[in-house]
Amino acid sequence: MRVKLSVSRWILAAVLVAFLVLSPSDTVAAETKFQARLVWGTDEMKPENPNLKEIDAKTKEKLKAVFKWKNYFEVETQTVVVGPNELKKVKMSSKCEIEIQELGKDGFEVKLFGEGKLTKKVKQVFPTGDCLVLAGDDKNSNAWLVMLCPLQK
Amino acid sequence: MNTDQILKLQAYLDNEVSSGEARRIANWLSRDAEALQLFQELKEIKAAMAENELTVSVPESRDFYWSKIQRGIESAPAARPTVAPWWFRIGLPFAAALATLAVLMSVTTFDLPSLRLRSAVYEIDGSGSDDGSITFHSQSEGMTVVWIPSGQY
Repeated sequence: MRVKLSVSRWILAAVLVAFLVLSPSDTVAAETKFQARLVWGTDEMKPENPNLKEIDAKTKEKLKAVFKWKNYFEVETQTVVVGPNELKKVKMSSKCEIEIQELGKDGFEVKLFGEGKLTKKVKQVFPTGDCLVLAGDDKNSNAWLVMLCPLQK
Repeated sequence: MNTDQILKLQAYLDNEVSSGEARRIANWLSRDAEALQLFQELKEIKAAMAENELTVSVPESRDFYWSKIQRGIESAPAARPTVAPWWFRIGLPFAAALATLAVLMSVTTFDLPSLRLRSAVYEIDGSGSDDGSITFHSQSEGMTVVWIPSGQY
């Protein structure tokens, strides 16, 4: 089937695409909400610290699929909202802090501080539902994990 | 007799070999009864095909035959372009524009966190990889893990 389409319609469509693509991002920029969690991974059944609570079953299964520890307990959970080009600092414990900075098209820069010292800097564009986990060994063959997961709106 | 030898015989029959090769094949045929028999059969088949090709005669004269075809072409109704319905003529450019936009969005991260969350594009900055940390991504668990060795914190 041959179809006659006027050039003007194609030009109009191209202008519309250019407008959508090139329009200032400030007009559509939005905040991103994250859940930040400090988690303790262990093979022990019950932690000595009564403030620790067992992590939800779904997250536990995910962590068990990746890490070797049998049990995971939440030390701290916080919700962080990061606006365009904004930098947010979150205190996860007396020794652990994270800094999240929105970098526009480059995603986010996440900095991990241990006792005030910069330990790790990661740049990440978060795909759908994916979490960033910064982790390391702890004493007695346990582990600490800082989970940063974007929350869907 | 192998396929190569059979093909050589066929080429010899069709005069497609060099004079030196032709002499070698002729010499071979004088010594090999099986090859000679096959050569004779191929020769007979070739002769039968050449002599028995059907000739088709046209009842009219050559000029009249071709002028009839020309008149047929000229009198045939000219193919008219199909006019698409109005919604198709208007909708197609916009559909193409939206498809272009969708492709751009799939490969580009905008300054819009909500769009970025839907994007499949992600990256891990390798900064600090010299510090001994290990980064890996678990597609099934939707998790990017940065494992920091104990000496770093």
